This record gives sequence, C-alpha cells and structure tokens, in this order.
Amino acid sequence: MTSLILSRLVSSFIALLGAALVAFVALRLAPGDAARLTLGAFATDEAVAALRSEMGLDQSILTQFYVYIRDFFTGDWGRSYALGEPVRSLLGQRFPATLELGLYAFCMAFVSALVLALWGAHRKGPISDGVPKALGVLALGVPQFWFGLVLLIVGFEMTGLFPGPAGRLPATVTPPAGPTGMYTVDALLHGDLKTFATALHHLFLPALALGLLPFGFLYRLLRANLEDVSGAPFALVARAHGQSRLRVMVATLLPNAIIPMLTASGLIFGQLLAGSVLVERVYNWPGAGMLVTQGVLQQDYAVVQVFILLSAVIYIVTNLIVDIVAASIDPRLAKGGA
Amino acid sequence: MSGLLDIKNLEVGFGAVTAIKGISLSLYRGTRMGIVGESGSGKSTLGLATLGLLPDFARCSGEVLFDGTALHWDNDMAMAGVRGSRIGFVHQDPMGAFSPVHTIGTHLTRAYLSAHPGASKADATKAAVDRLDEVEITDAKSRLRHYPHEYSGGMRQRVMIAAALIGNPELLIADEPTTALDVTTQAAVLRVMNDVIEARGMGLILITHDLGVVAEICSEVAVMYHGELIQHVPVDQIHEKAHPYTEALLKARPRPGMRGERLPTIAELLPEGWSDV
Amino acid sequence: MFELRNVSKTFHKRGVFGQTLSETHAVQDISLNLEKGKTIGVIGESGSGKSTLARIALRMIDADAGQVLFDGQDISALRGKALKPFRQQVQPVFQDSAGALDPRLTIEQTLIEPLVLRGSIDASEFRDRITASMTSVDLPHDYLERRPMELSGGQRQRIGIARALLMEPRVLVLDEPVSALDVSVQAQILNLLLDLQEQKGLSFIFVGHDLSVAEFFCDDILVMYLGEAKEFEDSRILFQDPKSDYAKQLIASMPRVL
Repeated sequence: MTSLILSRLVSSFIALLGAALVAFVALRLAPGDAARLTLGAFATDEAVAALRSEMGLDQSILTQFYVYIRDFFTGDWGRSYALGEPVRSLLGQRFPATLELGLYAFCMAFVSALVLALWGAHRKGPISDGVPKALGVLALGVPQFWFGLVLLIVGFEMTGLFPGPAGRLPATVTPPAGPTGMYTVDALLHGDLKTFATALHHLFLPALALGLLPFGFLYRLLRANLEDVSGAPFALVARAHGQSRLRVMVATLLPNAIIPMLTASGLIFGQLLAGSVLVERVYNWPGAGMLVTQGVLQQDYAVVQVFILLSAVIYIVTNLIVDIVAASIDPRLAKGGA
Repeated sequence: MSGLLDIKNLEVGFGAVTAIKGISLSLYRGTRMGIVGESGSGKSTLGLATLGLLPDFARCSGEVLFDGTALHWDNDMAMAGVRGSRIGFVHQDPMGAFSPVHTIGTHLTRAYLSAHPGASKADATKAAVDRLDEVEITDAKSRLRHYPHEYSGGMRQRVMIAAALIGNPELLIADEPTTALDVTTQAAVLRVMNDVIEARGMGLILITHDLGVVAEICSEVAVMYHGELIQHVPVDQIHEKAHPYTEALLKARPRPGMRGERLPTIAELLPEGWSDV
Repeated sequence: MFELRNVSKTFHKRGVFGQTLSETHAVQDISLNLEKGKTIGVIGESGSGKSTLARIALRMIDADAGQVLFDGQDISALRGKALKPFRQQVQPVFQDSAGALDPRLTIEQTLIEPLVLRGSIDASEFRDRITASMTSVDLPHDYLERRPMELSGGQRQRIGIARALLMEPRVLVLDEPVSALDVSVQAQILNLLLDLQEQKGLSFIFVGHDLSVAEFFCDDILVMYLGEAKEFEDSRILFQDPKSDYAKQLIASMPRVL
C-alpha cells in the first residue's frame, strides 16, 4: 500500500507539472496581447510596454514558466489585470462556491446511483429497475442548463418550494465567516443551523441540475458491473453457503462491482468543478466558472492559470483518494501499484 | 430407510430447451453417488436445481424432498436455511468460486454465520480454522488473512470443501470438483474429500464427466444423457448391467495397451436410432 | 526430420526500471527428434512448460538458447519471408482453434484466409484445397456456409484441423487438441488424427495433460516438470515401468480405470 501511495504521489506531481505546462502554453498560444487587452485600444504603446514588463511578459518563456510554478506553490497568485484584484481573494470567494456545489452534486449523484443500482439489480421489476434505467439514459442526453431551467420552473416558479436563481444565500443573510468558504460547512462549524438549512435550500436545485449527468453515468456503470458479477461463480457459491440474495448483493457483489465506479468518480468529480459554468449561470451562482470564462476571453492569465492548477490539484488529490480506497477494497490493486 | 434426498419427476427447462426431462432418483443417507454425463446431459442443472440455484428464467416442475421435506425453491429465505447448513456445495471453478476482493477467512466466516445465525465472530473464526485443518491446510490461522489469489488451485478447492462443510451439512453436492486441477492435485483433493465424507458419514453427489473419478470415491453411479437418467447402479456392477450408452462411454476412453488401435465411438456402439430417445 | 536441440526459455518478470524481479525457467535444455509418421507426446501439469515448448517448436516464440531444425536446416535464426516454407510445413492445432476464429466469418471465409495470405494460388485451386481438407476431416460441404458458433465443439475442432491441413503440412503441433471435448467426441477426434497420420504420413507433437490419452496416442512421451525433462521414453514402457520419481507419482495419480 505504501508503495502504491508513493508511486501515485510521484506520478501526481508529474501530472501536475504537465497540467501547468499545458495551461501555460495554451494561453500564450492564443492570439492577442494580454497587456493590450487590459489597457484597451487607446492606451499608448509605452503604457502597454510598461504593463508588459510589470506582468513579466517581456521575460523569456522559461523564466515565465518557472515564476508561474514558483508563485503558485508559494501562494503568490498574482493579480487579475482585468478586475484589478488579487487572484487569491477573487478565487478565495469563488472557488469554494464551485467546490461546494460540485461536492453536493457529486454526493447526490453517487449515493442515488449506488442505491438505485443495488435496488434494481436486486429486484429486477419494471419500476425498481426500469425507471432508474430510463432515467440513466435520459441523464446522459439532457443538457445540464436545460435541466437546470426546468428545475427552476418547476421548483421555483410553479411550486415555490425552492428559492429562485439568487445565488448561495438571500441578500438578507450574512454568509458565515469560516475557514472553508463553503457555507454549509462553515455554518455547521459555527453551530448556525438556520444558515445551514438556508444554504442547503439554495444548493439543492443547482446541485440536482449539475448531478444528473454524473448520476446517469455512475448508475449505468454500477448497474452493468453488478449484472456482470452476479453471473460470477462466487455469487452462486455465496448463495450455496446459505446467504440470502440481498446479503450476497451487498456484501459480495457490491465490493466486486464498485471499483470502476470509484475510478470514474475521481474523473467525474474533477469534471464537475470545471464544467459547472452553465449551471452557475442559470442559478446566478457566484462560482469560479463564470470568473474563469471571463478570464479566458480577456487573456487574464493569472486567474486562468491558477484556476487550472487548483483544479489539477483537487483532481489529483481526489484520484489519489480513489486509488487508496480502491486498493483497500481490492488487494490486487495495492500490489499492482509499483 | 427413507431417502436423504428424493428427487421426484424433476423437470427443468430453459426457454425452448428442456434440460432435465422428468428424473426420479433417491439418495440414501451415507451413500456416495456419482452422476456422470457429457456436456448437455443436464448433470450440473440437476445439482443446482436441488439447491434452488437455477437462474430465474428456468422452469422447474416436480419435487425434491430433503430428509422427507419438500424444498421450496422459490422461497429464498427458506432455501437459505437449507443451503450450507443441510446441503453443502462445491463448485467446479476453484478460481471463480471465490470473490477476489475478500479474504479466505471472510468467505469461511460468512458461510459459518449464515448457517449459525447469532453465533459470535470468534466462534466463526474458530470453526474456519478447524475446517481448514480438516481439509489438511497447514498454518490455517494465518492463512485466513490471505486472499484467494494467494492460494494454489488445489488449495482453493480444499478451502471450498472446507467452506461447504462449515455449516455441518448432511449432504455434499460437488460439481466437477477436480476437473480444473492437475492429475496429482486431483488425487490429493479426492482423497481429502473421501476422508472428510467418511469421517462425517455424509451423503455425496459427485457430478462429473469422468467415470474414473467416480470409481475413486463413489459407491453408486447414475448416468445421464440428454436430460434423462438412463442408468443407476452400484459402481461395482457397472459392467454387468451397463446400458449401451454407459458401455460406449466406458469404451470410448483410451485404456492401456490400445496404442495403434482406433477407439470405438459412441455412434458405432449405440443401437440404431437410440440417440433419438 | 524435425528437431529441437537443447532449447531453453526463461521468462522474466520485470519491474518499472527493467530490473528482473523473478525468473521462470519455462523450458530448460530440452531436445526432441521427431521422425516422419511418428508422434511425440509432451505431458506435464500446469506450469511444466509444455505449451511453451510447443510455441518454440512453432516458432511463435524464440528460444533463448538451442536450435530448431527442420530437414536438417537450422531455422532458429530465420525470420519473415525466409520462415514461410517452415510455417507451411509445421501447422498448429489448439485446444479450441476454430473457436478463436472471427465469429462473423463463415467457415469458408475462414479457410480461404490462410490461402490468400500465402498468395500465388488461383481461385480453382482454393476450392480444391478447401474441398480436400473438408473431406479429410469428414465434414459435409454445407458446413462451409456456417459460422463458428453454429458448430459443436467436435465440429469446431475438425475445422481447426482442416485449416491446419490446407497448407499440406508435414508436421502438426497439437496443443491440448481434445482437452475441451467430451469423451465420445474426444474418441472421434483422436481417431481422425490417427487416420490422417496414416494416410498422409504426418508427424505430430502432442501436448497434453491427460496421461491415458497420451499413452494411447503417442509413440514416445516426454514428461516435463517445471521446465525440465524428467523422462523421455517409449509410451508403452513409460506406463509399465516409469523410471523417474515424478513420472511414477504422475502415473500413480491417474484415476482408476473402470
């Protein structure tokens, strides 16, 4: 297990450098001049040149890359030239919002996929198995922003059960100050159950909208794997030992079927963070997605680069956790790590 | 003497195919019966049908009485009370029969706890160690922590016998228990199986394609062909009373001193039109 | 005619940096000399190296040491085109050779493939060859239209043999040719192989684990254990009077004959 973790850490670090390199090169290959874009068409050439030099753009590419990596790890994330604010404080507000939304969406998708796949595999009726199956197919075909709009219409306009697209909390509620920036977590840390409930209420619809696609994917994956392993001889033998169908399903088949789902979860979680722009837009969610989209359009290097590296770090940490969990379920994976 | 297992007019179908065509067969306490047949004869289906472990789409009719009581295959909970604790089962695939992500100890203790609901974990572990000792696996205690892939094929098959014994059943159904094994390993596993069954006075149904294996440890032999039971005799009378198909099966196997000859094939040995039965 | 001379093969399990983690001596210094019309059996349990030996004989893998000779010519170093005549002369039959074929192709398409690969044969000769080999394995012609999955195990093995015969080889390397078959079908396939050997003067290398089949089918038998030759003997003598301890143990483990 230790060798697995070590080898994963090494490969994670290489992956991180790779991600940084790709982000760095791609941004610089894009046409246009960041300094010119920042200052506008009417700025003097001298002013542009001065800004270029301040941004470090006049230095060699290698030096720029080195500075970029060094600054990221020392926490000096620079300043957004488009918005004039330090990237750290910008992302410090926005990233937790995206992370919180992503976490809830992911958990809802994962848990419902797990429960419904088990239930469907156990009772292969038209309702227990057929309905989730249809939902799974639907989830893969429905655009997220459209589903987000439908949920808004039903959940807010028609029934009024949920808040409208008003962001993370109503303007009247003061966000909890806290270490994580995730309102539900911070509210709980402060013991403020009322704010927690309100934040959760606001999270529900966007998390549902964002979680539908991962749900469809994870559900189908687990359901198919359960079907596969239920034909394995060990399923038959476990029942021949006197274990009931349901017990065999949960205790024997699930641990054998869940590993691909865990691996996929690592990938999906990373994608949730990067791909929530449309849902954030529909719900006016003040997340990083909007900020970064703007940043790309305006060649706001600092914001985009830091976001990419931050996403890469989370992605790598998630996958490391997934690998460790998977190896603790399947001993053969722990050995294959070296 | 009443039968330990009485199969009465059992019929099993899968879709359009009838796998077992009305078989009646009794096994008395302490008897060891070999069920022999080629692929498609329905011999494995017979074993699984008895345990109620056929796939859901199988159609079953007829009756199986165990110790005088009819088995209700469609009641999973009731069957779970029979499986393992009254009828043990050994599967033919020593690799696939173990969940690769669970230790040998987990397999054994789960089997024990299913047969003894409410027993403690410590009891289960003790029983697991004892059963591994019984099938002559040394250093049983530390081996409980190992995973199936860390065992050899022959050891896995002995563990499977141990797991089948852990619920203290009166009957063991072994489906091709040694087919996947090398010949020297097969000999060792058959000897262990023979010893534990003798020591416990259990009944045995050994399902196999190999008449040689039957000769090693069975007292009776039942021959199946295309879903029918065509013969059921004591092993030592198989030649005297052999059905033409059984005779053909026996002769189709190469035997010593036949180098340079041709083997008689079943088609030549069977009476005209017999295979259309 | 066909000879393996002191062949050895070691498999290495390598770590990330190419360092050797463990070595398996799959075949150690084994020699065989197969004559026309004869059968040499190679028997052993799993891990004995018998299949590796068959693959060396077929030149599917290269031996680390030793030579493969055909008609006195050392062919161990030949590659590509130069190996073509050898490949035609020495053909494999595997446990389920036809089952490994493309399930979408008909038997005819499957059989034409090796002929096309060989080239330089015209269409009418294609047909003649296929007809001849189907006749040799006693399969009616309409089987050419079927697909592998529509055939029984025994029929598929006949197709496997027919495919090997297309090239008019002199040697067949039979790797567990009847292990997947029922006793009654096994008898038919063994008889067929013996008939073919008689008619065409074929030589066989028979790799198997079933001792009674090997005794019946082979002239000489090589007993292998963990890559080593434990005994090489005339099959009759081997079973009546095994010399090596391992062969004795193996023969003693055979189930009783009813």
